[in-house]
Amino acid sequence: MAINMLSLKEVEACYQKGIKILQYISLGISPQDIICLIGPNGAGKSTVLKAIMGLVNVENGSITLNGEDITNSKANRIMRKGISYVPQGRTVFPEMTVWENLRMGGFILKDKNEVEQRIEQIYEMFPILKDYRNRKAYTLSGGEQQMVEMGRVLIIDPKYMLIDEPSLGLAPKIRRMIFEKIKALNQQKNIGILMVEQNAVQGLEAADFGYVLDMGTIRFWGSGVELLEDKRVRQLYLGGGDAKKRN
Amino acid sequence: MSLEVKGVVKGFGGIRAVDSVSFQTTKGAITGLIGPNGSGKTTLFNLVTGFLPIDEGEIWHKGRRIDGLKPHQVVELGIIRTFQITRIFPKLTVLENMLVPTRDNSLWHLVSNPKKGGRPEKALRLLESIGLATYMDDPAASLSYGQNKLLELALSFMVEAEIVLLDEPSSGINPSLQASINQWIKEENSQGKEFFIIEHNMDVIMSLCHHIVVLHHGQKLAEGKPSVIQQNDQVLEAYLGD
Repeated sequence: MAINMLSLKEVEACYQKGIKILQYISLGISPQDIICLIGPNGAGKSTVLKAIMGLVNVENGSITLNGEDITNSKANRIMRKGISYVPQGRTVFPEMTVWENLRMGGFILKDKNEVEQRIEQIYEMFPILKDYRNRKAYTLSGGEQQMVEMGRVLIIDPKYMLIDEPSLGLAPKIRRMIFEKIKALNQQKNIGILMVEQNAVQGLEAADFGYVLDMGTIRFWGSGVELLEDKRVRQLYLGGGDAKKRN
Repeated sequence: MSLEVKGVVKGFGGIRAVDSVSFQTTKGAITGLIGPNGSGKTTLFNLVTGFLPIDEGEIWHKGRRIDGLKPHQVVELGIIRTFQITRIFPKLTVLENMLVPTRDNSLWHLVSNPKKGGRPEKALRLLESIGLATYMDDPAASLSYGQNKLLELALSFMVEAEIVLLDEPSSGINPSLQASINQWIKEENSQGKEFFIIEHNMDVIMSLCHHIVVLHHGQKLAEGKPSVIQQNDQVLEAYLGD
């Protein structure tokens, strides 16, 4: 079983001993999936991604990749196994050029030619990054910086991408474009996507499957459409109102 | 009239981040500032609040010229702001953070009783309504990114101010809290506090703002009532998309 799958089984995680942020989190994701985590602030959504990356201590339960236990492994080892992570907020190196930023994503790769080839592939996915390759990252707009961040983790040719609030601080038009890029990565490159979103409606629309986290546990789950139409989910987590309405 | 921005220019290297922008805000109103990423909104906030010097133009507040003032001097005039990236005291508790801006800021007070502050009832009511009451005795460092944003927003309601500039108050915040945040903004506004808000969430902008200014490539693309802005073809094209 558990072939080609990243799975969490009854994961409990803590930043401080004794204070469990996650309780009994079980979920699975394959390279065909886009999965979206939504929920209130402080529910533990970002912590799920950090637990997978070995950035927070998993006290109980297990995380496996294609059947292999990777619980509490070091982040760099997890990256080498093909799981990439785009943290929350703008995390580009502002004083470096776009090209230098992309190269930083490949610091675990030894072969320089391989790095250059991968950068060319990233330029195909995000043509605007090629146009701006010599510009310092801080001169780029928010949406362009988000593309640098997504491009930067593509350089290790990941099987899975964990993205924490890809639409944070982006204008409506750019937000839609970023979700389109995420779908394209999933469909064209077969990268399994696990994303956290507060723009829950758009996040769930882009996703095949969604989980609602609250107080560190999974409260609801279902296809993106099911969750969007679920009255309780809408009332408690989407701010009520019409599920069809877009920002 | 409250804030008056007249022909303001700010360049970074070869880029004109704010390019001859002029507009006014109305005293006691809620004014929205929208535009694509990189259109100069946050830069404009930085210019108004003295965090960046302007290259050309003038900024006035109630008949007094305020460009050239230092940030603390602008604060003394009652103009305060929040940041896109939150700035709170990580080692103080959530409640202590809330009380910091309400205290007597004399040096003696800071030394003698750094944690005591005014109006704890309001602080508690605010924390309750944004879901942070259970964390009030925890150090702010233990909050998540979104909770940090909520705390900073709540803090801005604690300050005695004439004008509050909010930089993307709804980003990173769960939509279920939006109604209570809007309620707070309306309540504070009804007591005479003016707001100037950068926001990408159009529901928030349209339901709160009396007047909207749209920036694009550093220039003013349009301004007017929400209902008018929503129908403006140029705004739809540049910002809202199809």
